[in-house]
Amino acid sequence: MRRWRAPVAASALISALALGACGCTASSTSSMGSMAGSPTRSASQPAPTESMAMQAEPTSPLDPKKQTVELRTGLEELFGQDTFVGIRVVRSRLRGDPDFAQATVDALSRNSDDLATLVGRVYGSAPSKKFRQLWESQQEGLVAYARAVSQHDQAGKAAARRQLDAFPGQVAQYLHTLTAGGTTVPAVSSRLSTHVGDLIRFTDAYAAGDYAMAYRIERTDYEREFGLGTVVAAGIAGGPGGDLPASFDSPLTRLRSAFGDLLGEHMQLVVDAMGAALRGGPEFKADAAQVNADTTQLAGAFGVLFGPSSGAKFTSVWGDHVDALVSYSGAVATKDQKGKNQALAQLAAFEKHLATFLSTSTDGRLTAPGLSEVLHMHDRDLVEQLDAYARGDYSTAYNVAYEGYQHMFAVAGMLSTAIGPTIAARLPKGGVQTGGGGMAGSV
Amino acid sequence: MSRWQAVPPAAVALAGLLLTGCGGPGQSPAAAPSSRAVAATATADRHEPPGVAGFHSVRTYDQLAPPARLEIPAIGVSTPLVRLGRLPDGTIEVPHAWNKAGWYDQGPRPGQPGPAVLLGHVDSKKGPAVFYRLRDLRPGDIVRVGLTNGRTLVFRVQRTERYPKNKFPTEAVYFPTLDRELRLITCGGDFDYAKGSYVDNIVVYAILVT
Repeated sequence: MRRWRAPVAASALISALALGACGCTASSTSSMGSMAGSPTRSASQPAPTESMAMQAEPTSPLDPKKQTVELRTGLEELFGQDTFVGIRVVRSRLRGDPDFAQATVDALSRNSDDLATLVGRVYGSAPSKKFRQLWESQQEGLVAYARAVSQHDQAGKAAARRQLDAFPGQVAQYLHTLTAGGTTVPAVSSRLSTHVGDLIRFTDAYAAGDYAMAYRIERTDYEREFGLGTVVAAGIAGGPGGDLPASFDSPLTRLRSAFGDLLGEHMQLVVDAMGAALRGGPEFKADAAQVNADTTQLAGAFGVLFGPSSGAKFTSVWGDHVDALVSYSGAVATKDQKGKNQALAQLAAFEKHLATFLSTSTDGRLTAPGLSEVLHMHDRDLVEQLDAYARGDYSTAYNVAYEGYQHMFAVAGMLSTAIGPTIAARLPKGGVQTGGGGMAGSV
Repeated sequence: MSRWQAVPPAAVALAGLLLTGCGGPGQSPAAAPSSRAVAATATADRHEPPGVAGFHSVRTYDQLAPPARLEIPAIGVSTPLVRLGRLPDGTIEVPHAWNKAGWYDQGPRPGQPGPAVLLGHVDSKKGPAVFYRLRDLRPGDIVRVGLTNGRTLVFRVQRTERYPKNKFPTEAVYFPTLDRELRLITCGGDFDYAKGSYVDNIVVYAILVT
C-alpha cells in the first residue's frame, strides 16, 4: 500500500545521532534520568527518532499499549498533515492549476493511505479499508466545494457542504466502535466538524483574496487536526477504560509532540511561502507572516528549555534559515544564479551555526557535524521541492515536500531524545519545605 | 531508483473530479492558466517577486514581564510574589515570609511556554499561611497572576495532586513542556515532628486561559 520509503541514509543518520545522544528509546520516557545513563540500545528495539511512517513496514502490527508513543506521534503527524495537503488541493483548484492539482490530490490521497495504514497496523486490513473509505468522503467533499466556489456554483457549494457535514459524524461513530468506546463520538465529531468549518472558511477567504485570514485559518486548523491525532491515539491506546500507558503523555512525549508540531508546521508553511515567492503570488506576505509566527513559537520553546538568551539566539539563527530560503525562491524566480548560490551558502552557514548551538545546548549529546547533516537534509528537501516546482515537476515537488514534513518528526524525536536528559539534569531536586507545622493535623 | 509508485485509483478519480471545469476565482475554465505557465510567467516577467524583497524573518525574542502578584479568589489568596532561586541542595528556595508566595525565577515566567512554579507556605509555626487552603482548589477555579507591567494573566485550575516528598515526581512537575502552565506548590499530609516538616507536597496544575 505504501508507495514510498524514507531515504535510508537520512533515517540511519538521525537514529545514530539520537543513539549517540543518550542511547535510549522513545518508549522509555518515564524516566529521563535513566535514559541519560543508558549506554546502548537493544538492536531489537525500534529506532527512537524516526517518524511513525518511517518506522515500520506497512503490514507490521502495532501494539497500542507497547508502542503508544509511536501511535500518538504518528497520528498527530498524519492528521496534522491532512490540513496542509487538503488546503493545497483547494488552493490549486481555486488557482486553476491542472498539473499542480494532480500532484496535490496525490499528496492528499497519500496522506489518507498512510492514515488508513496506521489504523490497519492496529486493527487489521478490513478496518483500514473502511476508515479509508470514510475518510475519502472528506476529500471528495472538499474538492467539490472548491470547484463550486471557483465556478460560483451555489447549488454545488450546498451539495458539497452536505457531504462535508456528514463526514465528521460518520468517522466519529466508526472510530468509537473500532476503539470499543475509547474515543467518544462527540470528542471526535466536534473536532472534525470544526475542521470542516475551517476548510470551508479557508476556501471562501482564499477565493475572496483575504489571504491573511486564510493563512490564519490554515494554521489554526493544523493545530486542531494535530490535536485530533492526540485524541484518537488516546482512545486507541486507552481503550474503553481510558487506561493509558504512562509514556503516552510523559513530559518527554509531550516535548517530542510539541517539537513535531512546530517543526512540521515550519516545513509546510515554508514550502508554501517558497512557492508563493516563486510565483510572485499575492499570498506570500500572509503565508510568510505565519512562518514568522511559527518561528516565534519555536524560539519560545528554546527559551523555556535553555533560557531567554538561547531563545534569542535561536531566533537569530533560524531567521537566517528562513531568509535564505525566501531569497533562494526569489533567485529561482528571476533566474539569478548568483543569488541562488548566495542563498545556498547562507543555508550552509545556518546549518553549521544551528548545529553548534544545539550541540552546545544539549551538552554534546548531539554532535555538531551530525546535526549539520540532518539540517542539510531539511534544507535540501526545501530546495529540491522548489526546484521541481519551478520546472513544473509538481509530482516530485510534492513528494519531496511530503517526505520533508515527515523528516521533521524524525528531527523532533531526535531533539527531544537529547534535550530530555539535558533538561532533566538541570531540574530542581525533589519537593519543597513549605510549612511550619502550626496547623499540623488540619492540613 | 524510483521514490514514488503509481498513483492509486482513488487519487485518479479525485483528480478527475478536480480537473473538471478548472477555473480560478473569477475565471472561466478556458481562461485558467496552468501552473507551469504561471511559473514561466513569473520567471520571465519579474525581476524581483513582489513581497520577497521586503521580507525579513522575525528576529526578536519577546519575554513577558515577570510576575508581581497572585490572586486566587476561590481560596482568598492575594499576595505579592517574591523571587525564589535554588538552594545548595538543588531544591527550590522557599519564601522567607509565611504570608507571601514566591516565583521560581530560574524557570519559565507565568504566561510563557512551560510550567511556571509558584510556592507558598501552608502554615507558619503558629497558624495558617498564604497557601493554607491551596488543597481546596478544584478544577475550573481561576488563578490570576499580575505582572510587573500591570498586565494580568488568567489561569484555570486543571487538577490537584498530593505527592510524598520522598517520591516527588520532579519531571512531571518541573519538566518544561511547551504549554503555558502554572504549578502552585505547598506542603500537605502529616507533619513529621522529628524532621520538622510535612511529609507531602500539594501541587495544583493550572493552564493559561487569557
